[in-house]
Amino acid sequence: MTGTALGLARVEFGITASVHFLFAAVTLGLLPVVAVFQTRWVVTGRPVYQRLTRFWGNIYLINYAVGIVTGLVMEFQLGMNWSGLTGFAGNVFGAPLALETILAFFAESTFVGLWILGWGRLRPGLHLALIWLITATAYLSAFWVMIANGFLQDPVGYAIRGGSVVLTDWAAVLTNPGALYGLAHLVAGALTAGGFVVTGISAYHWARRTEEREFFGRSLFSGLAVAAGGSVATILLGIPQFGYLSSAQPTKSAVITGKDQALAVAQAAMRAAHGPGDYAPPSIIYPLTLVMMGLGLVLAAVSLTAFALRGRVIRWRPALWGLVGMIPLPFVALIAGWLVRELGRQPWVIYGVERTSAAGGSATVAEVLTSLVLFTAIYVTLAVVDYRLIARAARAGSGAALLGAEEPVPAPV
Amino acid sequence: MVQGFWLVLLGLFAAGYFVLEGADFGAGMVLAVLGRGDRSGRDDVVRAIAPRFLGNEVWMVATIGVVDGAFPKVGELLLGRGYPALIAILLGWLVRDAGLWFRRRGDATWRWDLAIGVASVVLAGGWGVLWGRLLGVGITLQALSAVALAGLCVVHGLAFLGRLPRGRAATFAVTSLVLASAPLLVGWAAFPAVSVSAPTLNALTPLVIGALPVLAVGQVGLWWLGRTPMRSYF
Repeated sequence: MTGTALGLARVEFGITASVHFLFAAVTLGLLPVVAVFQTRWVVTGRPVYQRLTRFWGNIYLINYAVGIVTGLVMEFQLGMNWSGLTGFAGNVFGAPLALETILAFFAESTFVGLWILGWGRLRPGLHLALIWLITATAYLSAFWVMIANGFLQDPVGYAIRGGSVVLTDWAAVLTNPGALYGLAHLVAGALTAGGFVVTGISAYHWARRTEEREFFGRSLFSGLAVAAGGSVATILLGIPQFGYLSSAQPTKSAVITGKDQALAVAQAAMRAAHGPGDYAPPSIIYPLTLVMMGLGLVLAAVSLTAFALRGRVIRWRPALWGLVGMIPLPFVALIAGWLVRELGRQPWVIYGVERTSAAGGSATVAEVLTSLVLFTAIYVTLAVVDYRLIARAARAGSGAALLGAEEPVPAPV
Repeated sequence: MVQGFWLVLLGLFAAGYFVLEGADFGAGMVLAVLGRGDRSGRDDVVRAIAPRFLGNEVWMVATIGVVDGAFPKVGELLLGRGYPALIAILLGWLVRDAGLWFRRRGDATWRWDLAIGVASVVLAGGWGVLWGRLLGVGITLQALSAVALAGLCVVHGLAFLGRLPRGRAATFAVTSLVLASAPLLVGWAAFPAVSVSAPTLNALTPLVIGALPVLAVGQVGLWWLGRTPMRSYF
């Protein structure tokens, strides 16, 4: 692959992964909320929990629509543009991705279909089991993706034989700290995002003086609890990564902590091991780290304060509108964090083992450019449409969801 | 032995995808024709395939997973020869799914239905082109393959929907057989059965075998529940 094609392929992967990541994060963040509401519905039998399950379940599904279609493209994209990586490291890197498709994606999609179809038809306990199965498979999906990504960050459990990677220690791959630190931090971040979505939508209805006070009151408190717990956990699970990175990825560690001295030492070590060259990741990851950490602190402070003062916050409109305005912030933090993780690994595709410049496939500039333009256009369109549909469903309130509707709801033609 | 298991899995997922999604492609293509100017007629067609398409389309996701995990050489060939066709397939797939998900979420149902129709043509035709390219045939035969597969999916979809005047079950059995065997023949002709090294297969196999019963129960459940169309979500 030429340098230009490779650069375009990197841009394409960055865009498609980022858009997918936004929707996948909401899926991870919303599912436990829906599952807990449905559990309360089944256990208590109270109608408010049925309506909570329907409303938040509907928003989860509208979000899932773009999560799943962008996920489909992700499954193909590694093979399409990155056969230099999959050809060299497929023996290890491909394994968790294969398991993600069969054990997680396949199962999750089937269970989502069953959950929608089974509404009001399956026994309540069985229908409840489905939402928990969906939740479990969504998290399993994140696990396998991070195991694959973790191998790129901190390759373990492999040997190089005959010019390609072979698997030597599967247990080491499955317990790779490069994967598990990131997974824990990311899951907590996704819960934070989901919590702020639930909080913001509920705050909107309280700010508009909704008549559904119990409905959106319970939603608001649940959202704040998830956001507060998630944001504190994100910080606590992020801190140990600094110590880990200083030994596992010294070049990334030096840049994100702004230590020029440490970077010089890490570069010298890289040159000694891999020959002359520039091994510094792009310096933009330093400000991105600050953005991520700054937003993390703001999100934790706001959600903890609002949760502690929830009885007063819910009656004070400026605070409610403030919570509505917070919705985008966790997503900015998530994307910033993801960029730090991925850009910080450069110039390596597999840290210390294979360079990104060797990872490309055989696609030409014209082919990559065509797919870049087409996919970006359609991704952005779908993301905007989906965002507007979520906002519409969120504003419409608890009665409008078609999910589990008793009678066909007349819709405009 | 282990490689044989993965070859069977690859064939099963690929063949299953074309039988199951073939009906969805066909229904999507005839959507605008069967329900022209008639919103509730189109709703009936969509209800026959949704939300089951969610459980159908992932057979291709699993196929690609098996390729990534066990047969990376197949993936290289697939992309080397099929890159433009695959881009068209993925774009069609994105639009078709977005149409099915979104048609009832807003007030532009007919626009999404039109998009589902066009995208279903692109999907079925795209796979036809891809098969032709994998076999190394010229552009005319690629086009012919696209038309043939799209036509086959229309008949398959009409049989599935029960919209054929007669011989519905027999037609569905024949189209299913053709849709299952054609990708197997294409794969057999085009791909080398070179798998990843043994340690990787040995790591993957027990996990996949353990999951298969759960997946089978989910798929059977989806088909069993889907016999009665759902009320109103899609």
